[in-house]
Amino acid sequence: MSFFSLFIELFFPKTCIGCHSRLENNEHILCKECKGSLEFLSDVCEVCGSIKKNGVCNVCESGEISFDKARSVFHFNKIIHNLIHEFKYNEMKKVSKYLGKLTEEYLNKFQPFEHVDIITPIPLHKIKKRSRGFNQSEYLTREIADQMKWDHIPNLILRKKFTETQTKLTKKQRRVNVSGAFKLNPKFDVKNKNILIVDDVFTTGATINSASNLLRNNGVNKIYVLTIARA
Amino acid sequence: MKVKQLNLSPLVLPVIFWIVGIFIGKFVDIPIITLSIAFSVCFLLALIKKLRIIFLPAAIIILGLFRVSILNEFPKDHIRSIIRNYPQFTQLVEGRIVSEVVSKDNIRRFTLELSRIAGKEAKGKIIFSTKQKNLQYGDLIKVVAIIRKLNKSSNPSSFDYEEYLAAKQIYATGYSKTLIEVYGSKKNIFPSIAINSRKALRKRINDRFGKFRGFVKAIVIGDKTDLEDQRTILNKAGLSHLLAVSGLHVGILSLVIFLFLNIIIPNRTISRFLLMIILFIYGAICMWSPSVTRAVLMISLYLISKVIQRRPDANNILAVSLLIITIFQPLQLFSVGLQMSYMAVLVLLNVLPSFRFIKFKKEEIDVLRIGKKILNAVLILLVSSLILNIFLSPITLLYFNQFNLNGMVGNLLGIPLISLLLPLTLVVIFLPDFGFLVQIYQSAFKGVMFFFDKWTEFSSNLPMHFDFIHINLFQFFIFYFILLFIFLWFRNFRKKTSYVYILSIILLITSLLFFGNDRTEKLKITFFDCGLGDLVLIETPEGETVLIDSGPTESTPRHFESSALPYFKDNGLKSLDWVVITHAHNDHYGGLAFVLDNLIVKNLVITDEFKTRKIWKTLTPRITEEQCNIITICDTTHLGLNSIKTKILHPDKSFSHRNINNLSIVVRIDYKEFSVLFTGDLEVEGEEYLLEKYPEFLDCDILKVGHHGSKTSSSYEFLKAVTPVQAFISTALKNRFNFPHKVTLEKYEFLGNNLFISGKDGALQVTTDGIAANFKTYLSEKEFTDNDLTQTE
Repeated sequence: MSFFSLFIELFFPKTCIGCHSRLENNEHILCKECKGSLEFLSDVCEVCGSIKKNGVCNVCESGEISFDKARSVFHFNKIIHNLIHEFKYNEMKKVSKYLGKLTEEYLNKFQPFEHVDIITPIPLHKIKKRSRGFNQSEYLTREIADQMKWDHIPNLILRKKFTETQTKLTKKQRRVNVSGAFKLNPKFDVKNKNILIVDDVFTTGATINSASNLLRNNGVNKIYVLTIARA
Repeated sequence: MKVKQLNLSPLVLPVIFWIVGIFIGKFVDIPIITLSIAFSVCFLLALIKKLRIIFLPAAIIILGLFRVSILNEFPKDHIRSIIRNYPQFTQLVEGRIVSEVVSKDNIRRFTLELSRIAGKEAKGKIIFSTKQKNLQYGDLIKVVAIIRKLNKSSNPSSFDYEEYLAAKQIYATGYSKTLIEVYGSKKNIFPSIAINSRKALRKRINDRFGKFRGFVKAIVIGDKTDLEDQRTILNKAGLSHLLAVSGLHVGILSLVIFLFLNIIIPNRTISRFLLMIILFIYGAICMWSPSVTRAVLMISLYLISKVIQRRPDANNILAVSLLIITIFQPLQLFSVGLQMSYMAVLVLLNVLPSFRFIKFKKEEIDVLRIGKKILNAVLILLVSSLILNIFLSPITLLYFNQFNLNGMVGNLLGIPLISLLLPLTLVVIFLPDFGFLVQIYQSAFKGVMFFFDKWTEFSSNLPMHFDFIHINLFQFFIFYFILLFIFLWFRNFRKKTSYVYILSIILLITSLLFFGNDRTEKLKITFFDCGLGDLVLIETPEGETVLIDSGPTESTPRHFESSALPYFKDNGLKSLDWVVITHAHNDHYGGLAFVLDNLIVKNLVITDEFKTRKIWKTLTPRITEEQCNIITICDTTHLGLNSIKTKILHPDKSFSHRNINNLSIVVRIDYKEFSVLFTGDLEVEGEEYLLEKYPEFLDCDILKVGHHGSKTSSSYEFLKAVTPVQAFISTALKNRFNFPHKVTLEKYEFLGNNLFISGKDGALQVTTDGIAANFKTYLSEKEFTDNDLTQTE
């Protein structure tokens, strides 16, 4: 360890984002235990990627899906919650690199999407982006696109409506909240392309569905969805 | 399983060791060479892994010692070395003005960094005062000045200006009446910005806040000079922390600025660095007072942690900020402000979160009704400020002899109101001159201020303010240990080991009862240094108190409040059994109004003549309110004290004189072999009368010399009859009467070192058991014991 990093280590010791304990020198972002307890989400519904209960997928049953295929890398547990929270609200941008790497591992392992032309994030409204400082999904897509050598267009979808935060809303309220919230950037041609939308958390799918609807109406070939966590 | 749990706050323990080192270093003087050797040994041994746990802390403690020790090492050309050899001199000095030039009462004051004295190179900073107007920061000046050592405190328990400035590394004062020649200018950008901003802010505040300017200056730029009554009211209300620019203020300020920066700058890292720069300028504007420094450093460290994307640990950041402050100015560790500030944050971070029983989880609060929410918030604030006040009380007791729980209630509205007032003041200050818009905000400010004033007045009248309580350093530490153990007991409440804590608490409390009492059963007489005037306190072995005269009026610098009150507070003396005002001159009765206002007076002894004075009429309302007995002396009498005999020899009805000095009350005190004669301002005529009437009562050990050493008192005959062994003259050295007169001093020459003059020796304290007497002076720091008083007869 260099003198400078020793200095930094004394002032701001590295801590595990999952459990807030001190990290060893060779550890990064997560400690061994937290890292060990992370598991890729497998054995999921072929279409929407949610965890099947007794072989039945509740999401697909309800029949309100506008995308072709959705996958999530992890189940939404405490560690993933902390990772995304620190990243989103405490500006720990280094988490995006870490998550990007894990996502690459996941994609290479399961290869869920056949062919991706464009990868794009769920956008934030201008005001929200300014107040948060950045769009967390955009950071994620950039990392994934770099790793997978996909074409990254961060501003393919635009947010035209300022929506309130979804965390406290019910499923129905969420759908109303985000309907018609997006518009397509006219600069880009999306006809017959395979597009992958990236977001941080898949909860009820309201946001994703709204964005997918938009793409569907504009003649996109295949709409894929990738989220880090599945609630 | 993790093999070893690493500490989340790695710097907390090292900083504690470092502070222990500084603390020891302040009281123990160890030569630097010894320290260097000890440090190298410890450091080398610490390289061995097995020994590290002992020698690394030792090495850090030695580093702390080292830091304090080098404070006492100065090159020969440093002002501190010079001033030690020549406490006062007049020389041509050259230097640079490194602070703002502040003017008060037509006198301008600034810090001067010396470059030359009498043509030779010199170093160090001094406080300089002058009446010249055209000076400003950065000026290189040349002037013939009187350089003087700083005043030590000349009274027991009173404020020590020398120590206060030494913590700021200033060791002398300069004064000049001749013209100061400005021969150049050298400004540094950073202090220049800070000083100009401070000036501009002060001007703006004076312009826009009318009668509230004193208050606003205190809360915005930490300038407390214009605060008068408000300070005492807030202090009594337990809200003085609102006046200190502290974490709360800097926090609110940073939030507002950061919000604003984020609007104009998209890049967060850039706005964080900009905010840091602004905060550092703000710190300089507030003259780096300890609480501001702490807040600025902690917020800056927090901002850095954001930039390098590490989760900040609050305790670690707190430790780092303390380390930084004490590296630059180790003696700041002993300032009350710093101790209060750090103790408060320490408690906020570590103690309060343990009291979870009142706090609901976030989800639970959401469900609560609005009324319950408010109740919950009130409860949290009440308990928090109670705990904070308790943890801060040893400090307030040690330094201010008071303990205040009024703040518990006061904070309830005080904190919300100040959080409202601060942004409002910022708006009023920074709003450009749009006439009506400024007025709108001004009236909003005045409205809130109205409530704030009413509220503070209300809380200051609450009955939970206790003062005149004395604790010593030993009790101070015991108090903290008790609090620590109570806290640990509370935290481990359910664990089986909790009885250990209860046991240690009981042990500590008993030790407090055994060792806490430092009352001595002796007669103690304190002749205070109140400038030109008399002020003597007698404490009998039984704890009775007699005050003879009350010092000069409140317009003088050493009136009762600054010379004697600290001693009264520090010794828990809130009531006086007897107050004797020898005669109706204001250097004797001047402090009486203050005494009546602040202490409980049971008996007031005066002369007939005093009642005919105008001043008596202004005092009567206070005296009737106080309900004290008034005893008018018109014949020989005595005060009813237990083992001390007090005779009042003078004046009696048969003696009349047009000079009221000659009607001074003369008191004689006898305790076994020990005796003192207090003659007030008695002059030769009075002395003659006493010689005639009571020649047998005049012989004594200590004489309070009549009339401040005037040539009109102390006749040879009188001195022959008194034959004092020690004598005390109560006068400042420079005064319009030229006291003490040379003739008088010659008369007392036979006493040699046993003649004390308050202007030279400071206060004199005599402690005696009636057989032996101990003498202690406070300015000249003499101390000796007269072992056998019978021999001297």
